Amino acid sequence: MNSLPESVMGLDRLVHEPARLVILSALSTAENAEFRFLEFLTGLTAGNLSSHIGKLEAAGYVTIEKTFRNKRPLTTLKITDAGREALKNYRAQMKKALA
Amino acid sequence: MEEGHVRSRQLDEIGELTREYASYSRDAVGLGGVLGGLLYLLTRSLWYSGRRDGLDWVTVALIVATPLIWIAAQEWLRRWHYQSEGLVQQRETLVDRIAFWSFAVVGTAVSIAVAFSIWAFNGPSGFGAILRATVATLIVLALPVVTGWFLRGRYEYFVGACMMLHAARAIYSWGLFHYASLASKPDSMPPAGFYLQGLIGTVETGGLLCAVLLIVEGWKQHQKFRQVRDRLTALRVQA
Repeated sequence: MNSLPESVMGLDRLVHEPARLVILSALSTAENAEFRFLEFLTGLTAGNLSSHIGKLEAAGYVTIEKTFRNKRPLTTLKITDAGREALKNYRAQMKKALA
Repeated sequence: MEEGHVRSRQLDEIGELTREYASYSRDAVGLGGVLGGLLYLLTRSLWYSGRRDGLDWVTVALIVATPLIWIAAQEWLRRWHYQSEGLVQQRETLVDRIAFWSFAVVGTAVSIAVAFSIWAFNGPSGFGAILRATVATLIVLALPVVTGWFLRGRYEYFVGACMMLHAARAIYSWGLFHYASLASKPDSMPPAGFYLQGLIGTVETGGLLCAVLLIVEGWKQHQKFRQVRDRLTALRVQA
């Protein structure tokens, strides 16, 4: 079996997953976003979205803040510098791979 | 979503639409701007008709309540209409910070100058006049805080500041001065106070232009929001 090009092999698999790519792309242009907005944007269930966000948080790509508003839990996400860099690198690599 | 193929163009669009959506958390006001512009025009007409015919307490109460009604309605629209799919905060750039602090400095300077002038040119004395001057001063001193906290766009800020100045002038002038005409000085008003009122009036005339621009801009922003929301929904369906 031929090995895949290095540009494809080097892709960050954590970012490559479509749902996580959408989450990072959305967060990259905002200061922060509520969990509910990402639910709306991705169309994922809350559990599924939590799972993706958990992976991004574990990688240090996003930070999660849990607060309360009107006695209701409010989860807010923010992209970190590492997350921004990872998204930028991924997109550059992808562009190179598709060129 | 998980099985979908997210293309580069779509990622750009997701980022751009999120940016647009987030702008309604701060800079974009949409229908809030339309409402603010209309309320300012209403305040202005109430003020002039009241000045000519004598300000009654209902008119004064309406003029004072107008900025509060506007801010409350605008925040309600932000939260329950423009950010109804979830709160997304707009990113703050260096330009935004410079604009914010410029407005804050100018607003504070105007506020202090007007507050000082209320007492320096306070012609009539007596408990009623002092009470009205105190309330007017508090409104004027609250101006930079209220406008800085709630009103971030240039037209929005200016219209909000003019509305608050109207409120302060309405309370201060209520039952105190009688204007024979719009251009004549009431007998009980010191000349410096009259000229200052004229200066504030000129600034407020600029508020009229800003109010019209705010209405137009707000309506355009509202139309844009509908497009953004439709595109976000369409992207979600595609994914």
